[in-house]
Amino acid sequence: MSERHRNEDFAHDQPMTDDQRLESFLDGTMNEQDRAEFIEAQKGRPEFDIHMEQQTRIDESLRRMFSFADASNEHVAEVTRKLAQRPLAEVRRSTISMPIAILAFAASVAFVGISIWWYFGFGADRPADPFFQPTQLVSLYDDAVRRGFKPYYECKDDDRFAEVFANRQGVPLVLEDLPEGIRMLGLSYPGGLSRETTAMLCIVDGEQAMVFVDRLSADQPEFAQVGPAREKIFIHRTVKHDLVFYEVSHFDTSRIVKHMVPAKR
Amino acid sequence: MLNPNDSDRAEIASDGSAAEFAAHYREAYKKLTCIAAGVLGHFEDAEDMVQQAVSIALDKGERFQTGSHFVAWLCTAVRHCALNHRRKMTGRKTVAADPVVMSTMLDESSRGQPLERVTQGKGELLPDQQSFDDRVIRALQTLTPDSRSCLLLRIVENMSYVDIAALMQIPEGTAMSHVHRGKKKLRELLHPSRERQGGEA
Repeated sequence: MSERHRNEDFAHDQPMTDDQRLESFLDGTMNEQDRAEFIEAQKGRPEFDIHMEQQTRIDESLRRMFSFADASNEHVAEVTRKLAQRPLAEVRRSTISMPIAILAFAASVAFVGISIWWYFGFGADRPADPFFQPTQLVSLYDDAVRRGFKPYYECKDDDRFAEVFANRQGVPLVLEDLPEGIRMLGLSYPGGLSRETTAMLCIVDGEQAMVFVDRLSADQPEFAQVGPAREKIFIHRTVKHDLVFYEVSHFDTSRIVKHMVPAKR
Repeated sequence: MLNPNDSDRAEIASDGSAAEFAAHYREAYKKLTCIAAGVLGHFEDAEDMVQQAVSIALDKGERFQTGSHFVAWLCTAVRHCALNHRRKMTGRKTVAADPVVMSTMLDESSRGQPLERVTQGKGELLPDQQSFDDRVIRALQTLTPDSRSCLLLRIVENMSYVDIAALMQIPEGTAMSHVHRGKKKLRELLHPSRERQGGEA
């Protein structure tokens, strides 16, 4: 084979190593002739088949997990509006004088020092992270539906399912035997009532349903409201085991929460 | 596909053609999201990160200079914003229950009796079934942010190395190197022999 690798990280004008050749093949950057020769050379090498199968599986996994939705019309409109308000081509020249620049630098150093002192000293007893903002559960439901209703964590293992709730809500929840028509897809951590809110995504009689679970102490019913414009969406609130459950679905009765029970250790 | 080298597109922002900008921004949006996800190491928050970064970048629009490429400029903003977010999250004392983190937290030997198995009505939670996606996410954490971004742009967005290089503002060879080495490392960590041994990625 005569191909030379284009990668600047590798030596120029050197024949490709077997590893580089394999990567080039798997990456689809080999030309047809080299590709045919490479396949021929790999015949009878089971490790090659494993590489092929593995790469295909990894690629599929990445595409599945990282398939993002298109930008929403609202977001594009907002960006376009901002752009119109502030032309980007304007390059503002720096007019700051040297003495002012030195003063600014000194002030920055002082600010950093005070910040470090605040963080490790005086501010050590500061309250919990203030950055979290509660979100309407209906918005989170709509967002999940818009993104294809895929859970962040498929959670195929019931021990780990329980561990998620044990770590986040303090109660190791498990699912009882689900009746016909209810299917659990997995878990997501979209926020909601608190940073620790755990959401379970389900399909109930072919419809998308979500259960948001959090500690009772984190309950904020005002974020479980259905606006008057939203018809056919119901939120059912249940309190049990010091937890609060909000089931968001198109059903006028709760279908899932009763099947979520603490694990017996 | 949006070509970051196309110089006339650098002028989109200054032309004031809102419709044209919107179309190009839509086209670039998923690529920017891939970059954010690459830096963060997961897909959660990636879209929020892009929207936040673009908003900040436009608020500080005077830093954009005519002649430079607008989408690459946005890409830089997204990378910086995502890196800041990542540093902020890793500096937190709170504990997340993401699978990636849990895998390092759970000490099987200290858990005592395993939780009682439950029978899953529709077969969604099969006993002993491991999630390959979880392992892929864990393996991804071993790559650098730039490697992850290049890898995602190549595999998920199917971009050419020329486009990746222009978008990430790195040499084409480096982009290719990131992808090839990243793929190889993932395969090593996710090799079936490790799976059989119960090895974690």
